[in-house]
Amino acid sequence: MIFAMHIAEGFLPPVWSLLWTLAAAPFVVAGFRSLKRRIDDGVDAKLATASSGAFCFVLSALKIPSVTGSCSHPTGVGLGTTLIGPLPMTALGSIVLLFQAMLLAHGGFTTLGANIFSMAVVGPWVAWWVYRAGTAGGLSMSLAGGIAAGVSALATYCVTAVQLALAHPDPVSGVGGSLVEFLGIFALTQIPLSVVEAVITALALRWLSARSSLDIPALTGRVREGSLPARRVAWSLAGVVLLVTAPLVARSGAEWAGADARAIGTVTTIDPGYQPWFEGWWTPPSGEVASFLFALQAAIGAGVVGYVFGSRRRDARSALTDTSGS
Amino acid sequence: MAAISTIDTIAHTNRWSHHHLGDKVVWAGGLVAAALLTPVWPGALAVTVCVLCSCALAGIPLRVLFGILRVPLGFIVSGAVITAISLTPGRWPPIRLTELGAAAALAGRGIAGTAAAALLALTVPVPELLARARRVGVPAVVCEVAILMYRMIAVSLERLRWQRLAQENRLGYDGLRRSMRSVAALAAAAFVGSITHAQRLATGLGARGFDGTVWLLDDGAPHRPRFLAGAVSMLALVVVGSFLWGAS
Repeated sequence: MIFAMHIAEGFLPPVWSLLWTLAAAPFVVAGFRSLKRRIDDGVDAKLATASSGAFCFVLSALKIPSVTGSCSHPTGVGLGTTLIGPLPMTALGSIVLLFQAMLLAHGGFTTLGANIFSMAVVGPWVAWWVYRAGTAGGLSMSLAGGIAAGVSALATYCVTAVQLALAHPDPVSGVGGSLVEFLGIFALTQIPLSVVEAVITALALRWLSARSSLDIPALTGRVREGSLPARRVAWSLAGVVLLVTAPLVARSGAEWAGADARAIGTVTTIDPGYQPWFEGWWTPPSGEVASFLFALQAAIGAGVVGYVFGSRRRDARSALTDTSGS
Repeated sequence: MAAISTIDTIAHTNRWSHHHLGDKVVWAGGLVAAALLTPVWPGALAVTVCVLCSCALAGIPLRVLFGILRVPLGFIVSGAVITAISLTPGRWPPIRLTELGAAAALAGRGIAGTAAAALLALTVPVPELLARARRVGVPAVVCEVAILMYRMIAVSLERLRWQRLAQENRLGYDGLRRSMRSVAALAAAAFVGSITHAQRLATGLGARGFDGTVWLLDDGAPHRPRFLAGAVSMLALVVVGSFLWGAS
């Protein structure tokens, strides 16, 4: 049996279809804008871009050997992303998913947004970050690409499980219980598949770097460095805000309590006569002071993280100008 | 003759191929919406029956439809099974069947929705959809890249088929290790092939004065009022009928 992680038509309630479409939209728009910039460079770029897209479709049509003897298909997201970059991959991946619905009846039309989110947004970005981290950490391109492909396939499967669990929570144990069930059952097929995809991606990249004389930017390590356009940052931020607020809107009746309160509840159900054996040596004079201290802590943390990223970025840029100057 | 898929071939050759795109989208898209929104028990059955009848009218063999539905069916069945069971650690047995009704409803919606989506895919050719999308105002970059991809996919798949045959003839799929190496080589060759294909195409088109314009043509088929009226009244019947039946 071919087992694809495409959510089938009719499997998501309309509210969730809409929500995931909205969550994927900013990334898809950013992806097509990057394609447009590339295409505006020249006529040949249009053909090359479309050809990369056809390559992404063909990758997902490859039959890969599976441990159980049946055959299956890779997502191709890892290999595609390492070769053409995450933003173009998001745009081309969206078209590939539309074509899979139109030409192969994999996935559906109302679930297209959810499928794009898991396979053309989360998959490529996870692959890209892992790949960049791997190559920055000194791994060879093929090894980093292989790991990136495996991790991104796993991330895609986890996101799909989350999407299904949110839409179909377990009546007894809620979203959490449902998530465990979906993750557990899909793990049977998806974990071996991710390993196979990682191995194949690593072998393919090694094959390309060893035997191909093509000038591929990602292969020769000349990934274009530059400041992020403000517009792209704004879109990404909008996406993050949407992702954070969507659960709040969708499950507005939920109770927001911390882990501490839950622990206290559990302790009192086990032993109703339990007395705390330790008191804090200082209690904040008021709730506002406590919130202020929390916010201060977060601000200091954000400052440290921002400083580290900023200095690393400056170092990287000065290293780049040094090499180009010499 | 290179063919992308059975669905693509049928979309270009069935009896409804030359109907107006809007008519087909109203009917098949309406069925998808009905599968999602109406009460599931009469609704899903009614939608599935409508899809089967439409296939008979459009001259699409039911064997083909069932063949297409086999793959999504695997997903639908496993998803429904997961919904049916409930996992409670610390109680014996930890897994028990609780939500049979909800799981059956989910499977019903899934099958009806997938069948309706397959009907849309089987009756609407991709180039026609993209041409219409461009005229409706979808950005040019999306439609042009998509139509070029569509044209290139057939060639790429054909190339892949021959490369795979060559590997098979050299015992490239004998055992797991060799299969992995062969598939990896195939993926790499597909990438090299896509780049050289684009370069050759650019040279050839450049010699013919290609200026980057990609034409998106549709055949300009007229609306068929009888088809549209039939589709809308049938949809109304399905929706009203399933709400009445589902409520009683």
